[in-house]
Amino acid sequence: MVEEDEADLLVRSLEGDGGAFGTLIDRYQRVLFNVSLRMVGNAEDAKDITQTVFLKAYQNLGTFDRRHRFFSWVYRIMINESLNHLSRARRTEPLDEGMPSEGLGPDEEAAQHRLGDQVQSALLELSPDYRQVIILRHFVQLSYQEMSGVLEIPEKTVKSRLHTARQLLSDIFIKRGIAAL
Amino acid sequence: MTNPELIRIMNEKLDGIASPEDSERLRLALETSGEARDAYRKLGGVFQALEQVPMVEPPPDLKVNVVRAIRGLQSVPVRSGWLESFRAAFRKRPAFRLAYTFAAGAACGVIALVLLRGDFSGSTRPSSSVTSGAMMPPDAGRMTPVDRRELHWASGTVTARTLESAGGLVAQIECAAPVGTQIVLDYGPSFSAAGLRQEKGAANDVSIVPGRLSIRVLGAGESGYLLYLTPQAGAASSVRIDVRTAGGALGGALRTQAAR
Repeated sequence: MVEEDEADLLVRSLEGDGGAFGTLIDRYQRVLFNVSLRMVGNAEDAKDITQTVFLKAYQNLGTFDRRHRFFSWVYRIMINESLNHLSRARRTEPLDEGMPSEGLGPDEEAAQHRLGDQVQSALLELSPDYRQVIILRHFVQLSYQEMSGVLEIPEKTVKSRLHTARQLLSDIFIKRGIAAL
Repeated sequence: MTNPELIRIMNEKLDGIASPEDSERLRLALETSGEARDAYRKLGGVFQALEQVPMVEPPPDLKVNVVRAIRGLQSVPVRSGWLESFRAAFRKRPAFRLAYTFAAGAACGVIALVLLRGDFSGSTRPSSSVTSGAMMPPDAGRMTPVDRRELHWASGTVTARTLESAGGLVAQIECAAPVGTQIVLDYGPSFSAAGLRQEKGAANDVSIVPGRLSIRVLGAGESGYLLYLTPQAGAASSVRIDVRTAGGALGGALRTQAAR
């Protein structure tokens, strides 16, 4: 039923029904924003990336193969867009006056001690390949098979990458004394 | 013992997909090996910690921004396709070039009348992808670079250049910036705008009022604009580029040939 509903929304979006695409945005914006947030670690950047992903999805809707799952397609766009962002961010140095400080104020300092923030910080220590499997499994709750479809890698590779990522994360948690352990 | 096979079973057990046989093997290993118990406890800790990370609600304006940008995009393929096919038709038939030049000149003349009347405000939206204004774009080879300003932030870049041409000054703006970014070029009373051309990119919200060009980014990807400026007698010369992003503002001045 949900699949039919989504297929209908896609058809109507392709016919120029903005409301139908709006419904797809409603359906996916929360999870896509959170995927991006966990990938890049910054809410403003995550918002920009999520907006760009929806725009790209809309612009390329005609190329989407409806035999496949829409979420796989849109998650793939999200992962690629987040990786592109991380790549650009590494290359680009802030240059001019007027940029807000990256430093943390007292409130942010305190907040960063919370477990959630510590975990996010630990996630950012992982390489993007490992980070994305953790995010897709633990925050989006995709199965190994679904992750294989999104990442376009064999299921066996998904498993080994995920297991290694968890081991690396465990090591980071221990090194930092993260409380859940 | 925590061999790779046992690690696999531990992961699958915690993922909830371990077979009954593997579950039994794990149970036996946990009963007999302290090392296995320690490894399983650590792995379980990773799962627990990840569960503590809350889902964050997306910003309320995220959907609004996307819908607005989509509205801006919708007319683009039709308009640019029409223009490109129109140009291509003339390119393929050299005999028509003269007619094309005449038609372009006539169109510029009409636009020039609008400019001279000063009725220059309001959004140009996607139609800004065509040249508008009284001054035909000069040959890029005849423009001399005067100054350049690059503004970088985590999610975008804006490059502004001033170039001297036979007809005055040309301000070039190239941006690769997220949706919602506001770019403002202030040229004050020193210049009057003679024409604007969108060189590339998405349909953004573009407006010109006397002394100022404003661009609000509505589409993903790179955009590029050329603004043709005519110096005004007696006015001090200055051009300034400012960018407002979701995370802050940045900007700077650009030299102009007329200032020297």
